[in-house]
Amino acid sequence: MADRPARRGAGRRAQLRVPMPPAHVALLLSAVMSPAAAQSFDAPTWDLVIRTARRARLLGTLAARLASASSVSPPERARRLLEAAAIESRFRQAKVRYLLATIAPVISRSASTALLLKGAAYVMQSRAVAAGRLPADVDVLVPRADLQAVESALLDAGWQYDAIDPYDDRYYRRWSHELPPMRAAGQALELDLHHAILPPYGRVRPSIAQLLDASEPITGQPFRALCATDQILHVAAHLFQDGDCANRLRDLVDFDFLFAEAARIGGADFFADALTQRARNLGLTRALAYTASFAAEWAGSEGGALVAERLASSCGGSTTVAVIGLAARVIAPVHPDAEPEGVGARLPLLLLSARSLWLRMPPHKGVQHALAKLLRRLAPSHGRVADADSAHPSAGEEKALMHTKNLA
Amino acid sequence: MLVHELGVDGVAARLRGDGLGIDLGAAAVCIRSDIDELPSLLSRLYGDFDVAAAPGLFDVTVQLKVERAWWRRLRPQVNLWLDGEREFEPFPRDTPLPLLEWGINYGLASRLSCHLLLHAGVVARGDKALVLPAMPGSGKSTLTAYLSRRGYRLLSDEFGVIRLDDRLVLPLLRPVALKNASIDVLRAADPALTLGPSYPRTRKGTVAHMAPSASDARAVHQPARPAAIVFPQYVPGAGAELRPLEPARTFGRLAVNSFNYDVLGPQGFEALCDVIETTSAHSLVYGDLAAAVSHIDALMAGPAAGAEPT
Repeated sequence: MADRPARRGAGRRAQLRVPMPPAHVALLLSAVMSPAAAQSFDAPTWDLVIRTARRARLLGTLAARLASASSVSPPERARRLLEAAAIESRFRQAKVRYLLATIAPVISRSASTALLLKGAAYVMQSRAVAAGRLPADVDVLVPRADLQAVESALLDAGWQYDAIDPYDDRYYRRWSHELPPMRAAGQALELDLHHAILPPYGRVRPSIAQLLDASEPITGQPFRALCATDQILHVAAHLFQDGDCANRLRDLVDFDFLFAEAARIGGADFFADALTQRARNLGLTRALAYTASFAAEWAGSEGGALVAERLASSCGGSTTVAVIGLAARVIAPVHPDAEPEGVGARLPLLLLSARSLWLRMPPHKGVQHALAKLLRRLAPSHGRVADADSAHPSAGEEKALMHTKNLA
Repeated sequence: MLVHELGVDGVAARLRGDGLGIDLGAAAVCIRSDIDELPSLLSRLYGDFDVAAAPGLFDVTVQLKVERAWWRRLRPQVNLWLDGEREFEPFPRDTPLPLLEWGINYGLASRLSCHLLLHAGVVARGDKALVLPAMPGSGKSTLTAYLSRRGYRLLSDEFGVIRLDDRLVLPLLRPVALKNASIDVLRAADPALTLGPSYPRTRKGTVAHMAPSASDARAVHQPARPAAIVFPQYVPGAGAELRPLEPARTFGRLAVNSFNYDVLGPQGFEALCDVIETTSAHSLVYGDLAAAVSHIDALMAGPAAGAEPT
């Protein structure tokens, strides 16, 4: 999609207009971004912030941030709930390291190069953004040419696919940038094998060669990681180019933490220039502009403001206004006490899902995929299987007591 | 203030408003609901528990709501929302209490990881706790409930909560979910028992909930020291046989019966080792409750359960 020039008056401040976040989200973000804000929280506020954080998968991050602020002493119960999230985070990150140690020889044998993406990379690079993170899976990217060899090497090494619907399997292999999730005995986490960061027939296809060329080694590891700019662009691409934006508040926090850490080297302005330039090269200007604007407006991200300012002139118009408006409705977790949603409240999500299909695949395939999913929803299957687009099948009651067991 | 002191109307007002907060000891829950029969059920089963102020800070907040969608009117259902997320498939409209209790258990199991969390019943005599870890279906709840009617204080029938700082067991008191034949066994053991309705055809057969005694509810903030560990196994027709367990076996069986031993990492390992070193451990095969209790009485009175931590 070509970037359209903004239709804005020269005198106006060059920023995309982002609606204010809901109050419970603003509270959570204030505590995550500047923990001292939590000093004034009373018990009901702690309750709301902790529950919102849990839904946004930010409770571990919140715990880590508060631990670094000695001025805040949460009430006893809050302290225990935060500590539980910190313990869970340590456990999951240990499982990431264990998984990678196990597959390292397999991948080294079968791939010319391999990149860790997202959480796995942050953890292995000991990035600031890893503190308190609760990884649910490990994402590894290998060049398309090596994909088959790596897949068979992993299968030989005991990794296997969950029971998956033949339609989903075909969908992953034909239209997705990753294979269906793999599991292995003794591994707590799933392994997602990628060959690109966005779907291969989508509107935007960042060049894998460019990403690999710029990638950086990870100390003591056979794996590499995307370079600092590309890690941020991956967050943006994932948020605004690949999904329906639902419950992705964490991406805004990631954006800010990643930016702040990278900017320490050459300064914020220098890094903002590098980031916007790289976004232009990879075709991710729009995704970056949206993400940066949300990070600036909602999380008060300085990096977000610098980037949004630089990109304000390169996107705008009615599409931008619509996407930002819809995203503002779904990006945050709903209020933990919200009444179950009616059809009206689901409309923004429906429109954004349609948009994500449009961005991810050619129109005829998008329509076909939407129909296939709708038909399947209308005809409930016997025994649920993981859906390709929502990797978390709804919980059965069996899960109740053995919940933590299921994680392991 | 105790829950029954609110009166059924007071409980109903809270359930429909900011929520009914209940102090369970190691955790506090907040319940919101629009279900008509729930206020009287909760006043009965949680009557002697302390009310926790709501709005406030809770470990678990649940909403139990009748499914209002028009296509559900023919076969009414209830939904449980845990912090706004529906973690379970809906239950039939006439079984709200089993769903509520399941939901609270689920929430507690995943939120109390700052303690070592065993899947176990816990009772105590004085400050000496008897921990009864077991897999579902082994007669743990029946034995725990029965002991609570034979002079033991009930701390929990589901969660052995061991605080990492001092290795003490914290009460996490709830109504005990009795299943099938156990319901009549307990009714016979104590005619004064407060029982909720019997719910037939749940996943575990017929379930009825037993209210803990007023004195147990008053003591939810009194921890106890783990003194003995007994792994019960109900075998119909058996008498009762208590066999000592070696520490290594005990370790394995405790680890398997823990919700978060692995999540806690080295801290979990050390806590488990300490608990085993300061307690006696036995397996108990029983078919006769009275005989099982006399074995346990002897065990709890004997020196094996009296070892001071070093």
